Amino acid sequence: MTSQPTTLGSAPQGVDPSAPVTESPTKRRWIGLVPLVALCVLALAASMLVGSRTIAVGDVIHFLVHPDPDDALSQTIWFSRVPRTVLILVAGAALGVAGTLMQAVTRNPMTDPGILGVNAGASLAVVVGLAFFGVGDISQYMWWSFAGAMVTSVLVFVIGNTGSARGNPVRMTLSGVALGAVLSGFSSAVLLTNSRVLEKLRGWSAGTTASQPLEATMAIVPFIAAGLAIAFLSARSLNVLALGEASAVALGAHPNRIRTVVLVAIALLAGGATAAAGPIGFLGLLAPHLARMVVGPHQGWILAYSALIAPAVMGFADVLGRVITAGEVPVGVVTAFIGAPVLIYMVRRFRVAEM
Amino acid sequence: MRRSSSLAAIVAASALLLASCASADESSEQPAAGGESVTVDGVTIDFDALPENIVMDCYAYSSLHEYGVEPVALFGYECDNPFVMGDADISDIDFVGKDGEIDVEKLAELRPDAIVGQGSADGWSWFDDDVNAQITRVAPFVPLPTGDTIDGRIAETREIASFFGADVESDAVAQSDADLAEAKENVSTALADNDLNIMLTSPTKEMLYTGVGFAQATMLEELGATIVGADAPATGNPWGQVAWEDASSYSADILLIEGYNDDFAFTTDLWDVLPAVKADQLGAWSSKGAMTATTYAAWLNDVADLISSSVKVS
Repeated sequence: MTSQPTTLGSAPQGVDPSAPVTESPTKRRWIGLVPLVALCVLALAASMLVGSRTIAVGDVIHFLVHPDPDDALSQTIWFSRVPRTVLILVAGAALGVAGTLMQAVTRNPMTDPGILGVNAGASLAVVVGLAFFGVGDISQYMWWSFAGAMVTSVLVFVIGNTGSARGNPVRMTLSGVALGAVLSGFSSAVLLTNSRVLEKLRGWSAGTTASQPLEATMAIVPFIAAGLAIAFLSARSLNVLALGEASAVALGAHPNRIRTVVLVAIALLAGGATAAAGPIGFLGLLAPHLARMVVGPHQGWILAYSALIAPAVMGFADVLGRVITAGEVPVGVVTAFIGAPVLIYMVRRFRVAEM
Repeated sequence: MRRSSSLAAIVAASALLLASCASADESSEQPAAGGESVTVDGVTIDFDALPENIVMDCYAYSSLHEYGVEPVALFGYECDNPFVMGDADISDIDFVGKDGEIDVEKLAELRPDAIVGQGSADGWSWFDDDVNAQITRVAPFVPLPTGDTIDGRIAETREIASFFGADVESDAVAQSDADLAEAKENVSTALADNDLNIMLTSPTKEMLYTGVGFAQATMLEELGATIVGADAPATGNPWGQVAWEDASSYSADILLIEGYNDDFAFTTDLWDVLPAVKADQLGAWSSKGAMTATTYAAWLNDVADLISSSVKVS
């Protein structure tokens, strides 16, 4: 008996993923959620308790229950720890699920919001807002970023999924890469000649949870909630799409309709997360891969696991960034430092197959 | 015969080449006969003749225009920032670049005798090495002084202006020195009456930067101010980094904000609750810009007024 290498992202040949699964794997997947939920809660707790300012656990709990607007510790908890923790949960879950959807809809395991140009679109919109429309306030960045991410998602879909070769996942990915390069070029052109905008954009463009008011995060929650709902309701359709265009059509599915619906979810999730925290790389790539390693090629479970893995990774990365230096290292930088070695390890350790 | 004449030609050419190399080495160490030189931060920059066509970055022009030294072209950051440029009128001056960009071809066409700006003799602070290699082939680069004290920088900037032919012993310059001395006295008097903590800052979304290590902070300290903020890094850029969570742990009664003006619009929850911000005890400072007695006299007078009108809030 020879052992097979673990395969990432490959649907078992000849098996209908939408068919009822045996109880045993389902039970294992439910059990697997328990430590994952615990890990996520641990990351969020660390985000509440750990920061550049040392605050005793008792004080954190006291000021959470009894906020004091004039106390510096209470201000730190309510104006920094709480908004950041909520942002980690919301943006992390959104990025994890958006990455899963992107990989499923393009049938490409190397896709994430960055690869498909969504981050570049969001960044360009913020740059344009700052440079030409007098956007100055941090809370205003968000809506420009959101609009940029939405427009880019639609453009990538239209360019990559219309015409004679529509439905080709490689074409859609290449459209995203090409459009992202063009949009990044426009951003660079504006930034190189506008130091004021470059300075303002510096923190946001690295991807940070700092200085984002709770109200601003809460403003994007409805969009992300809608995106999550669409994503989970689309899980069965994505399983069918994973069988390939021809098989999906033979089973009575409408691939283009599925892709359109999923695109709306991607735009809501990636746009909302990027709007709130800036472009954070690797989470959308890493979370679905880790999830797929555990649960196999079942989109519903991958979505659920990714929605927990991504905020857990983002939470620990953000906490690490708070304490690693004087000042802070933005979470986007830390996730890149963590994500790149993990991804390289996975590529070397596991056989990453076409989806 | 033909071979020996060829050999003689090679020897002669080699001798000429060696001689030219030797003369090139000598010229890089000391100015040629009748040459000129200027020393900044202990580094001497040599010229064949007194420079007439000068290209400057806007920080240099903000200082040198007061002495009547005019550029043939400008480049660099903050050219449209009134806090940096003061009353320097740049509307009729040609530009060879903006912000971090420079058109080296356009620069070369102007045939400048010198380029003046923030940096070192090797070039401008914000250009890549290859760009600096190109611009220093066009003309020698004269860096703005970076000494530890404001007074020292003002004096060295004045020496650069003098080198470019300015009259630095005019009545106006003497008056600016008197104004600066008076402004220093005003700050000391204000602080004696109202001992407040001052923090020099530059707030950004990701963190708060503080300016303990800057010469402007040192100057205020020498005048009696208590400067608070994160320690400057041991080497390199003196900005201290403060995570927003720690911003309120520095007891500041007055915040001086880099480039602060009436349009200042920065806001975050943890900035807005700082006592000095709530009390609107805010003023301006600049880590760059005009290094002249006039500029610093005006700034110190503003700081003195701010100190006098502020109260202890930390």
